[in-house]
Amino acid sequence: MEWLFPKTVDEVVGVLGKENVVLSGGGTMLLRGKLRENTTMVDLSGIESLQQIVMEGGVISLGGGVTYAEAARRLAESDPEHILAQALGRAAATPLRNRITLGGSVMAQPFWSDLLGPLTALGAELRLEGKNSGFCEMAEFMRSPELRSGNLVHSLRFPSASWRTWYHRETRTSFDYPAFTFSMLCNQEGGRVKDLRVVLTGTSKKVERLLKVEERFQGRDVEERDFQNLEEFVPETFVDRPHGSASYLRSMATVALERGLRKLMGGDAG
Amino acid sequence: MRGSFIVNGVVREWEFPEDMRLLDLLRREGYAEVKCGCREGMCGSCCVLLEEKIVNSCQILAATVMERDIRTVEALSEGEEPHPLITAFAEAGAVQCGFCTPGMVLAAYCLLKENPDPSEEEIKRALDGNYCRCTGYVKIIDAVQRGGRKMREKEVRE
Repeated sequence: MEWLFPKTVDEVVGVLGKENVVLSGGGTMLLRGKLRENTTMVDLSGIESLQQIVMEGGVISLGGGVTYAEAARRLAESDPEHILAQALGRAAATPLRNRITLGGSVMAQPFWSDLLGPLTALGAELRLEGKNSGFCEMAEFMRSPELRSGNLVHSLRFPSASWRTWYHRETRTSFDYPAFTFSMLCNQEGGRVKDLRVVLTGTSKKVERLLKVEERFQGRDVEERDFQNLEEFVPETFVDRPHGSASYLRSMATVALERGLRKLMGGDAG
Repeated sequence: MRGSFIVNGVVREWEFPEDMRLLDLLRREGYAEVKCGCREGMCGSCCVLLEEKIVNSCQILAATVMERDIRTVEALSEGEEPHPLITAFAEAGAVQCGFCTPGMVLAAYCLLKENPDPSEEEIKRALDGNYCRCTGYVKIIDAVQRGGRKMREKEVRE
């Protein structure tokens, strides 16, 4: 095993195509498997541009090397209710949040991720460097496994628009992996739902945007909100997990969905 | 491979395997206060401060923290005088087997630096990565609150 300590993104891109190259952002996923002897490890922690957080021109850009803790802290400073501040501030545990990086999480895509749902809801774009250099929509990245090799997540960006937000992680205890998460964003104008985004993670599809729920409420007067029969809109793609059976999790998701919608539309979250 | 590490303010030069974890390196070099628990980043026994932030040393490859400031619980005290937070843990009876205590103290220290008078809920959140299987946390929370008071009093005196 050998280690490389690049100072620039270009240096990383130069080795990305080579065999057995593993990027190490500082997070914990690497240590879940056995590191092979012939691996070239690339330590990304010395690259300054990956650590940047920029909030200007109506856009928030977070470097791929930014940790969950730092992202949550900075976002909460400007908007304590920001969906990413809520999600990342509750993910894993404090010592881990100080190490897990955004870029590493986007690449690894664990089913328990507290990052993928909010990013999808926010309509985030990833800036990749490597064989597919350029910006790529989060949804496209999730659909295209080939983008996960030969590329470095340089940063991710999303509009800094203000939303009413609701984030839910379904856990047995506060430090548990979530069985599923809901990320919900809502904008209202003149008493009407102008924009609603509902994203579910943790099913067999990893990340699902619940478009039918969004359509049901979009453009409607919040006074006329109807929370009946929401179970019809909850997908049947749950799988059995240690937290409970697929049918149990789907029932819990229906309850969580109603709570979130009630909260966002001004009613009692229950 | 060979590299230098700044541990408790002292520069150390060590030879170590490329895939060695920081936990194993520190223990090999005699930092026995860094405890080896789960090795999965869950229990918090192995916590150290990396540039003033609490991290699980079992989840860090040593090669990635060369030349960086690493502190164990031993670094908190000045000379023979225990840090007020350590005294508070002893006074509150928050130490039973003691295995989790170094990590707990460091997690509490990070919290109290940012928030000198935390609520019980804030303490629970800050210590969410540190497990104790003996005390049931009541005395630990008490110790953190006592430690906060002692640290504030010390700051006033100085």
